Amino acid sequence: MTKSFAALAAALVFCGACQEGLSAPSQDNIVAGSAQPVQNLATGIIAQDRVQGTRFAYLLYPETEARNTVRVDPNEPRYINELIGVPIDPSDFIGGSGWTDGYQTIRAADQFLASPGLAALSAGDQQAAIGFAQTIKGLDYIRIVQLRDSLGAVIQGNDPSAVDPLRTKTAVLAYISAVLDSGYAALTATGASGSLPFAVPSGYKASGDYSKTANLAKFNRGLKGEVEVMRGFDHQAPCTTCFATAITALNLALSGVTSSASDLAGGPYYQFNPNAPESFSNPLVDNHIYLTNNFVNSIQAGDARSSKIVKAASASSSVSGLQLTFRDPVTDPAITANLTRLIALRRNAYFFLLRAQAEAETGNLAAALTDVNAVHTGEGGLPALGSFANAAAARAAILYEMRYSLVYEGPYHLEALREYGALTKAYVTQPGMPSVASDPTHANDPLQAGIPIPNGEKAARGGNITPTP
Amino acid sequence: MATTAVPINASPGHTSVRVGNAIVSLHVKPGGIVRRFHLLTRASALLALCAITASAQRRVTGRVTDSTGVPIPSAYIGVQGTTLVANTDVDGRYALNNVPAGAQTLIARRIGYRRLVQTLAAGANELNFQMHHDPLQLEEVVVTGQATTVSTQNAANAVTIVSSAEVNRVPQPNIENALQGKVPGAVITQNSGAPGGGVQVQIRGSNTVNGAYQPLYVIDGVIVNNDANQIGLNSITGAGGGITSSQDQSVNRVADLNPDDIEDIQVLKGPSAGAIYGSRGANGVIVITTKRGQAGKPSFSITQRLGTQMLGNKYNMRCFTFDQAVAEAKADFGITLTPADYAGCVDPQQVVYGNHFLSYETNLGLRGGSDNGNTRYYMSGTVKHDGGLSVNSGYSKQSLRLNLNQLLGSAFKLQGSSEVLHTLTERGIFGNDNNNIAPYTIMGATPTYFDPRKIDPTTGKLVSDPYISGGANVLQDEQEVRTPEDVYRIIGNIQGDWAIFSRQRQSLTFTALGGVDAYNDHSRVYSPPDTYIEQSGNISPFPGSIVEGNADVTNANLNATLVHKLNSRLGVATTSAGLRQEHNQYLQSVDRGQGLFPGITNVSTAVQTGVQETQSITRTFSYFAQEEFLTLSDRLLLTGAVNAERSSTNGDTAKFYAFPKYSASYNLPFTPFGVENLKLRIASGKAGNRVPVNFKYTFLTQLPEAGIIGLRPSTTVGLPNVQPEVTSETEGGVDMQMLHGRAQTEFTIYHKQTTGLVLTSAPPPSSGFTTKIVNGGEITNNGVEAGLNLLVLQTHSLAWQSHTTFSHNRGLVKSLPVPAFYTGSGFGERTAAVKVQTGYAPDEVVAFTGFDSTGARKESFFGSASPDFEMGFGNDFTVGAFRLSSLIDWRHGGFIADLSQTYLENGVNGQSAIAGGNFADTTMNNKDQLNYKNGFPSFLEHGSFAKLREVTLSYSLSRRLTDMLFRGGTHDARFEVSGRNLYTWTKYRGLDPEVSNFSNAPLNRLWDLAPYPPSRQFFFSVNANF
Repeated sequence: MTKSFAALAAALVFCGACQEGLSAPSQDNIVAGSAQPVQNLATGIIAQDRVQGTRFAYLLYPETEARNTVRVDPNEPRYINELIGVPIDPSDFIGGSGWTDGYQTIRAADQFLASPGLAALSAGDQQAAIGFAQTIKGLDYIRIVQLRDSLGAVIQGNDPSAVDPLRTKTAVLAYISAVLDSGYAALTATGASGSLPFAVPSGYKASGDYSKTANLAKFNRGLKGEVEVMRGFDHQAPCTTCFATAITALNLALSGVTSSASDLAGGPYYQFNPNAPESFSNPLVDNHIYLTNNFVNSIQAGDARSSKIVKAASASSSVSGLQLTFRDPVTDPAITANLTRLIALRRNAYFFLLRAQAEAETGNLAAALTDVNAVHTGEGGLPALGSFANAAAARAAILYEMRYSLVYEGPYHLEALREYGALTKAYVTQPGMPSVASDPTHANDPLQAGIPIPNGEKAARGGNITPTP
Repeated sequence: MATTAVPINASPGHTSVRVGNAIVSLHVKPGGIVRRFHLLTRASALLALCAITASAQRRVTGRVTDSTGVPIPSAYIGVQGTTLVANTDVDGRYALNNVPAGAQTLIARRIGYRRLVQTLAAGANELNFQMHHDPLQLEEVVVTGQATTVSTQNAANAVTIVSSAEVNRVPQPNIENALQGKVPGAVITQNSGAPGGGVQVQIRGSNTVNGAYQPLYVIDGVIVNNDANQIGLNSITGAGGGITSSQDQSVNRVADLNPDDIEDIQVLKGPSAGAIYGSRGANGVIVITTKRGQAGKPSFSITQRLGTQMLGNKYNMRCFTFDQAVAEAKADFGITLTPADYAGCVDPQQVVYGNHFLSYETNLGLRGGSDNGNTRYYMSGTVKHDGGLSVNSGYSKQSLRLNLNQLLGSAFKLQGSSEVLHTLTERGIFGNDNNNIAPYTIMGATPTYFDPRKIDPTTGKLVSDPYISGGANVLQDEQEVRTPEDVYRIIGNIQGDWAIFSRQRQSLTFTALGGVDAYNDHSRVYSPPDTYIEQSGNISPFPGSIVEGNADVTNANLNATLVHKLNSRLGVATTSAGLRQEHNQYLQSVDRGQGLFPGITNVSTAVQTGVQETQSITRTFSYFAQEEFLTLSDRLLLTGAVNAERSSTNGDTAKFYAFPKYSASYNLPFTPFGVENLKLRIASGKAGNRVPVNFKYTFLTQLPEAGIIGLRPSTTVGLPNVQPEVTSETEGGVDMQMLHGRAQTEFTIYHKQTTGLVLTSAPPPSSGFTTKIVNGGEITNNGVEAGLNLLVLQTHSLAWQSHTTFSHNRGLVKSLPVPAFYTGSGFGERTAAVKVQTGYAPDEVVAFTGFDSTGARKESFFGSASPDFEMGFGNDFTVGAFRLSSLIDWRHGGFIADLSQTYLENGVNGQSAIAGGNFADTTMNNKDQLNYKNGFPSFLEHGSFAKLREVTLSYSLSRRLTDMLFRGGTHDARFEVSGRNLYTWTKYRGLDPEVSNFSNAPLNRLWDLAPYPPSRQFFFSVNANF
């Protein structure tokens, strides 16, 4: 009896155990595809966009290539050795940067647009949300093209397993322009809500309220203008009519904007919080970032932006023969406020200079002069420039303003140098320009104006990274 | 004993007779003479039956002693062909009931003694055994299932057994160190010379890229955790990104275990032996059995050790005369050196690592039990401290153990084990460093005419080092920066055995075991704000760093097994079946604060804080069944088994994956002259490698922004139907015993194949993903192992025993579903890298070697980073009361990227600003840098070495002396002097060829980056048994 009972009990244990579930869902992360609130998905776009927009790849490397600033760190000489005087290795930590983050933002935006939560909003709120996502998506595509220029970029598809083709810069710019237009249409659609249906960080309201769709629409037009200027300067397929389109868009972006300092600063900003849970400080606060001597020596006397130039307490280390002395106070760790200093996604000063570029290229030098002077006087505190004798003079003035107003804000100066064909041997061998001990005369300097297509793209395409139209 | 029937009672219709001790009643119908005749006939028949029955079984007793007549308790006596067994009591006596009539074969077994088979004559009731010691450990028992074992004589796998004596011959930092040089097929490598552990065991090569790569550890049936919890050293070294990183120099937690409690360690080397552990057995299983009690009065043991350590190796650094120093300081640093600043030639390695702190260890053990052995207990306590080479480094351990065995009636047996452990490890700063805080970073950059011990008269503090960015003083960092890791752990189990029934020919037993391993690992990294390095801003803009880590880990397993044993004329069939359930839970939270007030270590008061948390739960369930058939007079053992398992980490949690095993071993009946035993064996099995947690998911990861949680796609695409890797292994071998048991050899050849590798492919980054999980590919490992145990000499007062092992493994990537890739973290092919590519070893070392005609760098393949072969040479010499033991570990082949050199070199790939470098040999510096500039991997070196791992000289006190010293009551006492890692023969230029900057890793163990230097350890021990 006892033995039979024991056998039965054992059988029950065996059978009962096999029914137990083994579910152990992740407690760290949410599984993609599950329904999630619009607020969280929108914040994900904003946060990921902030990651892309504040990387060294976007804020620092282009400034080094433009010979304005260098990170001089003996523990990490690659910030010099891989950026100055050598072709950038596409597999290295510089060559592979500034790419995936942007595509991650783009996928976040597309997931947001496809999310069930969006459909649950009112029609007006939907339009506002769609307009926001399309605008940020366009912005991140712009950044990718800014860094890779004529090497092309990928227009991301919906299937993460697919290998989408590498497209020409021309094709990608056209796509971005269309994305921004659809975003603008959504933001300005009849019945579109006046505000975004989700909260945005305070940085988006620091200088103008970009939670309002009206302001966001203007921002969208600013980006549209930027893309059209890029299309106009596209060396592979220059679009002469695009400058006019750019001017139209930028007129909308700068409608009601003056040359006052506050207006020039207008725009949405990235904000930073060094404390948990975000633990994200302004990335430019770094003991090793120095200004080149040429940057220091080339500023005009009386330019208020000379406040960006301060002699460091100690010179930098010498790395590859390069040693610098001056720094921008915004990079100083000793100034606590730097940690939370805002960085603009785009601001009106840049839109003025973009419009000046477009106007100069369409022959309207007077209008270009007005826009250049907006920044020259508004931020430089200098007397207004008299006139531009020719387009070359306008270009030189635009380069100057971009160099000193927009340093550490993005690749604007480098992009303008590239557009004007001004990144030359003559430029990089000017007095005070950085050079490395292995190539002091820049004899082997490839004068690169962009970062290569990452090796991962090459590997996925069997080595073929020739962009297609 | 003759039986007669005696009438004792008679009544009409009823009579009773006594037969022996039985009373037999007979009922008789009323009747006459005929009926009485019938009555007598029946009675006679009954008497005859009783007589036959009584004489068909008997009670057999006897005594088991050793060759000197000392009784042996807890010896096992069995009757061949039956399930009858008995254990000897404290006096070595046993009793077997119901032994069948006729001649029977009795077998006596006891670990440490050679098996003895004797014939019990028909009619005999007593049989004594005199057993002899088994110095070559020929008579061990190996684990074959969840609740089954076989003798090593019949084992079909090459299982290595390491006894307690071998484990504790020399004081060991941890169990893994105790196995070095003793297990053929196991490459056991320390990650650095830091105290407290950090050792990797790799058995029969590497068969994974992303999966688990370490063997499974099982202690008394409890599956224990061996994770290494990152402590956050990265936050002050900046070696990688984030609060923690794989360069935190963490310790895997098997280091907590107490070697002194171990009875033996069995190493199951691959799936053909470890298939019973399902998805945990692919990398081998290390089965540890702890000591248990024994019948008889309590015996007490005490071991007291005192020791110290000294720096085992250092670099030959450069000295400068005063004039040279003046010129050098000016040229390289712009410093005007005064005589007051010139300290001659100060070797900072000696200053930092030249200490001889006291190490000590006290072990107390008590074991005993009831005379009949129904109750047995073992208790132990340990207090241990290993001093490090530098201040604020060392390892302390305290442990308490209680093991109990209790027989409850005749059919129930209960046993439990429990151990409470506390370890405190502090290892200081070492390894990769980008912030100029670690010793070799500073020492490499600082010329030897600077004395870090100098005190600034103004501040009273150690002077700042003007020769390095940040001004860190290496001695100040060692004194002020603290890195304690405090672990409290409990490992325990309860096992019940129920003999459901037990007959002469068959038995059925039910075994249930529940075990738990739980610990809390609290770590802290504290760098005070007033140190030079923190003030410099190199670490963070905010001086003062604190990282508090807490990991809570729980492993629990429940096993239930039915074992049926059937003895037949054909042989013994052991059938077992059961289930196993596992639950693993992990939670680690790491908080970092930067910007602290002096003396304040509260993270929440910091200017900048950061949090990192990881948690996971894993559940596994499996069925298993096994059949073992021992036949042909115990010569042939056939085994077949299967383990069917499902796990929460698999894509399909409802699907069972089957892992079968088959094996056969045959002891030849006829052997060549001089060979007493020749066994042929072959085994084949499959085991899985559990899918890493969460590989099946594609997540929305969280990125907070302005206090709101943002959700965005992660960069990893999971594989919804991910499956475990499967490793199949076939091994065959020959074992021989020769020279009358004085020599034993074993030879094994194996082939191991792993398919369905869990790999990460790299989708195009423009997809927004950087990683994609895939199943596919194949890795093979082929190798040979050999061992020779030889009792070279044995006389009354002289003995020499030798033990030699050899192993060779060759790994190969047979196929990959993804392009070749570099594995793990690294520093680029200009120095060296590990590349996984079809047609090459899984840990193939590649590096650039110059340029081709187009100016592009040439990639060269150097071979596996793992050694070509490994040999161990152990010798024991006994002369009277003296005994000398030694172990040499020889490893040939393999590669190491010695980037530690770059800290002291000056040039293209040097971090020292001293022209010509900081090595005494400036020629070497210049040659290295020129080669590197020309595109060659100057710092890639061969990793061959031979180490004198262990030396022990012991003296066993005579009985008279022990009585005199300990005033009687002692059984034996012994003095020992021992040393560990006393000498290394190698051409490797670095501090120690046993090194890994990334700690434990499946493939990426190539890197030497400013490690904690090696040490030589010396101990004096006194051991007494009462």
